[in-house]
Amino acid sequence: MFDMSEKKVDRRTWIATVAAAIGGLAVGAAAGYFATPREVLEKMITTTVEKIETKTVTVTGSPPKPEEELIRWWKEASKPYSGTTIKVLAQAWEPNFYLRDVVGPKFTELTGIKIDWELTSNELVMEKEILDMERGTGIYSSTYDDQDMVGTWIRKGWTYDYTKLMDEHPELIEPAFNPDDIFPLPYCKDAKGHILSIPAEYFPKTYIYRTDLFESPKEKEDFRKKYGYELRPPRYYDEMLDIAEFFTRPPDLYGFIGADGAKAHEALGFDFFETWFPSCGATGEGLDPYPRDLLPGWGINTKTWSSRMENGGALDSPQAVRAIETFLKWLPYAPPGVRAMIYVESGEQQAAGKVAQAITYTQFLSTYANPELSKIAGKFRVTLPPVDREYWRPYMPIGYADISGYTIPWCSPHPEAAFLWAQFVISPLNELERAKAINTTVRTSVLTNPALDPLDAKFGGVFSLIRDPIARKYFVGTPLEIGDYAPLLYVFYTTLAKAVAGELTPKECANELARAIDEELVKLGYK
Amino acid sequence: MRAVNPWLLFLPAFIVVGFNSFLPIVYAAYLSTQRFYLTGIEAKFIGYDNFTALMFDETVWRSLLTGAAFVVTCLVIEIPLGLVMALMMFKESKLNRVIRTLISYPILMPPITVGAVWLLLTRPDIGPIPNFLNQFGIVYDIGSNPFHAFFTVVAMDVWYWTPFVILVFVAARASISPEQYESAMVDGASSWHIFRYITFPGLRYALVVVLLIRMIDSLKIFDQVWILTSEGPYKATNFMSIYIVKTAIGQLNVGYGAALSLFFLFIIIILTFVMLKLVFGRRSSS
Repeated sequence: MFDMSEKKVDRRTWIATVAAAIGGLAVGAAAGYFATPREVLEKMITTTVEKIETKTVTVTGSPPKPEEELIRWWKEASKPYSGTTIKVLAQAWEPNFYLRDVVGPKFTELTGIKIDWELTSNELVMEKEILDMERGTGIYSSTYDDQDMVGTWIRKGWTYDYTKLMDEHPELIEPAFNPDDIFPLPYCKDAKGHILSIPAEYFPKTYIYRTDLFESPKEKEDFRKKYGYELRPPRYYDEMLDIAEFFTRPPDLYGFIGADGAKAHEALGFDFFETWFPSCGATGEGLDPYPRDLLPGWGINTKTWSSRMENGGALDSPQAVRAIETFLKWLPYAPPGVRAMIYVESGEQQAAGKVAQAITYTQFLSTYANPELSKIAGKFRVTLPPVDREYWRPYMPIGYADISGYTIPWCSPHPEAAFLWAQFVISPLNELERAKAINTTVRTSVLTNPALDPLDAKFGGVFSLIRDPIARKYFVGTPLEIGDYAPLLYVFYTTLAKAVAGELTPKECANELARAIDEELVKLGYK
Repeated sequence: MRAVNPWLLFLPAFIVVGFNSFLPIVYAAYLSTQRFYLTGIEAKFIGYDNFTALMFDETVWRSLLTGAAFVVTCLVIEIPLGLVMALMMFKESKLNRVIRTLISYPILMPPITVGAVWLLLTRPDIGPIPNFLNQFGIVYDIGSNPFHAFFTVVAMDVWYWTPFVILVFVAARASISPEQYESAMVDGASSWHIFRYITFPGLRYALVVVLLIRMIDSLKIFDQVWILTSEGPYKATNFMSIYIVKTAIGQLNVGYGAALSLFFLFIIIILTFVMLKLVFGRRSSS
């Protein structure tokens, strides 16, 4: 039947065989990828997160230049701007106090450029910068705000395009400025890939739990007896609610608190599109890039500019209803007064050791880790937030990355000096020390620096968590298509507050939210 | 020497008042005719559409109703309480001076501090008020209970402003001539008659001033509530001022916010006019 005699295989057959093998492997891998059962993928995700402490990640980008060389460069490049004063508008809180007190003076000493700080509340930063840009008054040389605003800058064209600025002034680009090394940068670029904001902070909104409780043999035993499975950080909300119920022991300990409390406040709005809607699947699949026609967390379809299911939106979907239901379900396990709390009070409850588990802003980790300010120092750990068992699918976003950065208003009186400052903040001259002080970095090279290892345990493993590029993908920034953050946020929180107060059922609330958002989108000129 | 037109002497005042009050109102009137979001969308003239919209805005009427309930509740408590306390401590004595100084303390505080202090007092975890009420089995929570939120704001206002009412009444009572009281006592008038025919008429104008100031102030209340409850559960403390700020600054809907502001200003002017007419109109007719 077969000719088993030795026969030289010709070149064409070789190529055909190899090509068929490669093609077959690719098809098989693709089929396997798409056909992988959800549980397997979920396991992959969760095991990724569990293993990441020992994981090493290849550092991308060029290695930083030696310090002396950089210092020389800074002195030389800034000479034309020496003596200039730049007015910087930023939010009044710890990371910026650090910049004002430590990095700013160092910048002035090196460059001769002085900084006039205006630190105020986040809401006022937004209002003041918009007024400045809208009117073109040119008060601020640079503003430091949430990435939430980048969509607004794209839509309005109110800020300097850093990419163009770099083209025009290549002499102002720090030799160590490597865009590939700045991992949150994709959330700060427009569709053409131009940089509108240089990020300086990256804080994922994670799940946090008390290790002293979760690792206590007695608690573990009692939990297993009561619920029939092991006490561990939950993968699903039903497990999280079991744990919440188990640890609710008033008045000293409660089961859970959301990152933003439950007050009728803007925070309620952003908590939903940052945490509850994405983790309950009210969004499309796809992480990076996310599906551009269904905005993660916001449930708005950008093809129809509608949030209704019938138009491809998701705010009145069963997933959105589930998100509202889930939010209402944890309220009984939260510390008393949760309906009068926002993120500040939620953080206080966590620091006071009043809750066994929570969703948290990792900005607060340095406070939690400080034994003078916190009762949970050395007793907490962070990981990926839980998701809804029924509606969340692998490769959907889970939570939010709070990214902040420097933008230069189009009317900035000193754009070049402001550009230098934005680079200096994340310069290798500062970045490692800054990461140690305020537990954030935007540079992969610093994030993976072994010098941060001793601090990782202190900050609950946050560096390990975000060192994993897969885990990091689950935390997404505000979609860049959101060009009117504030007005839409207002509609979100005022409507959701009705469900929290009990005025509307989750289903009614979801319908009302979709209707109100669609109405607002029309008013704002989206359709 | 050339005579100077006396109207010129008013000029500085006209300029100051015009700049401070008139111009902002004119600008607000202009904004109220625009569909103007502070988000870079081109402002568009829409005539009186914003005013039509506010007429059908349920939140506007609910906010006004909440404000009216707040003003009435505050005045009903603050005026009688202030009057009684003023009559108890108007006499000059060392003790009264000390008490008057102590009770004046709240009005020296900025409203924002008052809000922050009450926020701490009412926090369910560390606040003394909830902890005290818990002893009697009362679960007090301004975040979830609309009545608690509303009456806490009332209590805060009473705490903050009753000293002002007391001080005005103390000053007014001190200005009533003692001879009237002496004559009444010689004629054998009862305490009630002395209050009814001497003290109360003597305090009438102070009462009008206090009523007017407190009414307008209570209607405009903002800072303390913003800090303490914001709009509150079920919008229990969503007064017009809160709604205006949330619309204009929170939602960046400046055009509609301006229309709401003008509408609110109009209501306050009408109320003030009615109050003045009721009191001073009656005075001139009598």
